[in-house]
Amino acid sequence: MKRSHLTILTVLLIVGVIFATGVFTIEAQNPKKLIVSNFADANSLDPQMVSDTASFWIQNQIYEGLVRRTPDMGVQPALAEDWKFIDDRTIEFYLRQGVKFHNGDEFTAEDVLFSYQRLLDPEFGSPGASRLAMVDIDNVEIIDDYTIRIPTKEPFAAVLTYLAHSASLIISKSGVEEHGDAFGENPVGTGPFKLNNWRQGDEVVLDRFDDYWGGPAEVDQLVFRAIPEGTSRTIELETGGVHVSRGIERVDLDRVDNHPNLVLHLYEALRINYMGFNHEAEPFNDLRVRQAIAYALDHNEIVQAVYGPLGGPATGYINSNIWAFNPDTYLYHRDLDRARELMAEAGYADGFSTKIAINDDATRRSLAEVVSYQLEQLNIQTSIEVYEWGAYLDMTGRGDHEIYMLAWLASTGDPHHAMHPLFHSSNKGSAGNRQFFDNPRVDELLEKGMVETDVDQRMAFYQEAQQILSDEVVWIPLADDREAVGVHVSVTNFEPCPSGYHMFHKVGLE
Amino acid sequence: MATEATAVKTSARRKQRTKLQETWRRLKKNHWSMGGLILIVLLGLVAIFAEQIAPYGYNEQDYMNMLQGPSRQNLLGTDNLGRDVFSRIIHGSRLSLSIGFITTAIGLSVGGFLGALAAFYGGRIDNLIMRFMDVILAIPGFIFAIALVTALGPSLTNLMIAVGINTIPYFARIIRSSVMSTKENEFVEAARVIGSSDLWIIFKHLIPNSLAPILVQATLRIGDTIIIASGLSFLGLGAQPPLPEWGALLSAGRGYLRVAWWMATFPGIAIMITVLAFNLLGDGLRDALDPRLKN
Amino acid sequence: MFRYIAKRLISMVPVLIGVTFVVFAIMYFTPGDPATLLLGEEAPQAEVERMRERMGLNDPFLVQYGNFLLGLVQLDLGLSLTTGRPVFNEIMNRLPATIRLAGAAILVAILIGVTAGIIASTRQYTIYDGGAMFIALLGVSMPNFWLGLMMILVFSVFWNNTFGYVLFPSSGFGTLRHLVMPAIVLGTAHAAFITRITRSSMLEVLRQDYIRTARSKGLSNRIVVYVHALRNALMPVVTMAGLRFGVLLGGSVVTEQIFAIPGMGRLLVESVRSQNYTLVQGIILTYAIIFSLVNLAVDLLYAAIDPRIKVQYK
Repeated sequence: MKRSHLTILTVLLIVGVIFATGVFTIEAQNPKKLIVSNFADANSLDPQMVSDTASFWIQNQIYEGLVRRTPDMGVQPALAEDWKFIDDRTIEFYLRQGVKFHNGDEFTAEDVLFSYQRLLDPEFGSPGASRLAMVDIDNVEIIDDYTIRIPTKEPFAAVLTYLAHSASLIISKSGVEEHGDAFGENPVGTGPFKLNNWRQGDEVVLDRFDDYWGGPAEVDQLVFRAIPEGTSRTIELETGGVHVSRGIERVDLDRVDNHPNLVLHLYEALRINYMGFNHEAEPFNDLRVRQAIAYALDHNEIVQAVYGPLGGPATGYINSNIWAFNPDTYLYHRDLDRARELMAEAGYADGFSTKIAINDDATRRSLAEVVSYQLEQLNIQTSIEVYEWGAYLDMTGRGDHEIYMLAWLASTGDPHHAMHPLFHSSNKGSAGNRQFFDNPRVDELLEKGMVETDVDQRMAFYQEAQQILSDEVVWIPLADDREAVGVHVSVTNFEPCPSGYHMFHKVGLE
Repeated sequence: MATEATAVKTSARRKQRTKLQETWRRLKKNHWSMGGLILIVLLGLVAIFAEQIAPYGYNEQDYMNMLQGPSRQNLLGTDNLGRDVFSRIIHGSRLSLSIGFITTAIGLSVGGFLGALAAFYGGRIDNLIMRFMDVILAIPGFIFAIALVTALGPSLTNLMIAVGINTIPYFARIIRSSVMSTKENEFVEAARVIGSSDLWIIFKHLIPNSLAPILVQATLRIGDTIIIASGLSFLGLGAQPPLPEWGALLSAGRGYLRVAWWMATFPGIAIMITVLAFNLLGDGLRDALDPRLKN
Repeated sequence: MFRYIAKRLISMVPVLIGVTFVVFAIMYFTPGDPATLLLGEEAPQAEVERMRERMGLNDPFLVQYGNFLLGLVQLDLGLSLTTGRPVFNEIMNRLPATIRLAGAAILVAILIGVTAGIIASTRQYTIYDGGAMFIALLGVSMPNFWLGLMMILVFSVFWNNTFGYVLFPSSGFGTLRHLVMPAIVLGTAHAAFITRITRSSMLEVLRQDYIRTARSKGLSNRIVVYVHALRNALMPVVTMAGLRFGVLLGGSVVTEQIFAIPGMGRLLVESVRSQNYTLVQGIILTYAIIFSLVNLAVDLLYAAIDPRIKVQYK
């Protein structure tokens, strides 16, 4: 009996020693190791397997598309050196020569065709397939190794911006053939960084790709650490655990801004936050009720209370940084008398009760709390219901909701992307038109805008559509997002990108 | 014959009563437990008179007064929407206490019923019920509650159901073993002889006779359920805004830890005091009911 | 002994099958369509329908459950709905962090709990006893997520404000410094629990005849306490601590969340948030298996020591 107790003690001791030694790891001090904090870990490093920004940000360092966005949201050459419109629905791309993939293979037109075919293969079921749904994939034509013709099914004005989307990043054909289902953990791209090691749930370590066609990156290693909690991201930034941190939260803005070793970049993101109504549900099918609510809310107060410097009051139906934005549309401001009048006209002088549905997100919780508090003034009693993201999309897509809060990120920066999914009647439900809005004139304008190639004409179509949306109070625009990136002073050449996918090829470390 | 049975019953009742009196006498001597009991009564009063005690409404927002530290106007500071943290905690006592009592009541009633059923009938029913309890107990409680709330959707009611279901096996086991030991007693035999129905016997005789262990278990469980429930709320799976449930307050305070430490600190203290009170009382009850354990 | 182990292992099987059924049923009735989740918010309806068919989501409940069990036998828990990777691999990736955290917490709990319990029991009714018992009571009454936030506040935030550096980092995993706060946070409630049991168990043992005999033989108090009494008092402690291991596992979910530890608990919360029900299913099952294995280990430990069980299964 005595011996067995001794055994237990010994076992405990050994376990203790294992733990103690196992957790001591010596951190190699690489002078050129740039550490970046990300909201979450990548879901996959295969750009055709994901639809979340955390994954896309990392992938944009590993892969490149035919074209890419410039920081001012233009389009510039990437893997395609140049291109030419053959007719109104076909573009011929002239590919860069001598570009190497991370596995040493040469990049050719075959890889482009393969990437797009895989993306659009219904059997493969990529979440990004809808991004290139306009491409007529069966008729893509390879002219030679460095020339490829890509037709669209119909004339489509914004095709280049969609080819610059992260879903359209070019993957290596031989890489996919070699790794098969494990490609997402063994990415092969042409970008300035290649995968070294991925500790899932924790960090992705990328190495400089020395054969990058644009010249090797400034730093030897680029590490993306997954830190979901905003405060922790800032603490890590302040204490030197990371050099660049995306998503600095409102409470930390001043700290970062006033910190001697940190620089705060505030930039306009292309996202608009809104409070939507289900137009097929009582009483929100009544324009007067929607107007009354618009008059009951104090826009500036909401944005000030919830977003602070991280949001500007939204005054229209697309983010104000998208070029087709019409600034003179949504002009409601708080006017409780007018709101009460409208409520009385609609037959709700005594108010009503309704539900505000949100997903599980701290900012949206606050938004809902403020809106709910302000609507009490009209005797509109609200209960807030919080859903998990999947259930939320499901529920709002089916039309089981009354009031809901969402945001729309038009990452391509094109008004078609910003408006068509949200307001065209063919997209009712889970395709994006979650308010179940149906207006033939808006449908017509959005269709015209899609095929028109003249920029001024497109602008006119989209601006008219926005005016109608505002007259109809389709939803209440809340705030245009601004995003804050904190950067350590030792980091050079950092330039934020409105898409949120800040690039690190030229970024150095002193 | 009937009179005989009644006589046996009353004597059993009397025994029961004197045992409770004896317990109370012993409990009164334990200062710690009395402290716990007084705390519970105080918390109950706070919950009942929350409207009168709290200086502000729990959802009264003031955007000019956001994230202010403790002061004379706001005893425990204000939150990110300028709401008074003290008032929110006071109002929240209602939620936390009802969560504790209701979840325990769910566990006690369902678990007690199942346990009594299992013990009374034995055999296959016993086996079926208790194996099912084993299955639930094989999943760590908090994790099982997460799964249930995921399925039911996060809300205060569903939180109580999930945590309540969690406590069922504990009560089922206790009542089962307690009924097992009392069901052979003569007064049960007597009741059966006079033709009482099974349910009548279970509710009238067996469960009351298992009161002592149930009481201890229930008191200690209330503390546990408050912690589990606030943990779920902390993860965003419980009470929803703007309800001032303590776990939810703590969770909201987490994002403001560095600029407004009071937002996370005080709700946690409230949880701790409440759970402590129930644990003190529970410990005392256990010792008082079973003096052998008292060292 | 071998027969005993075999018997215990076999008795685990029906319970675990029961667990699979309960977990599968819960997830089956969870709202939210996995196919929509997999394809993303902008996918057309026809594609979603095709995906549902491919994933077998249109099959009847029992067929789906049967397929799930068949997969389980081959360690195939399906594919994660957010990453498309096998659930089994995802869990194996996260398991080490959880085990390391839980192990460290147990270590903390045993060291603190047993020590405090001995001190309290050998100095019954002194200030040490009262103090230790009161702290232990606070320990079991304290929500661990609150303790975690308070430790971050003190050792990361205030420390940094005062001394200009962080004593223990508030997030991340890998080094011992990262492990200190999470282990204490997770271990505290357990330590408090162990303190209480150790004390009462020790008091019980110290009153036994053989302890009196040992004392009367003139053995020093220290030997009596640490060799004779502790040895016998520890068994109930181990049993109870094993039974309560489930609480510790549950606590690890919140702890991992607070300190951003890439373990199974954080994966569970992420999966719940993204309605990744295949992953939730697999994770809960893994927790149940770990919990069962720990209890098995405790039983075996007990059996190895208790001669009565040894004889029974010779």
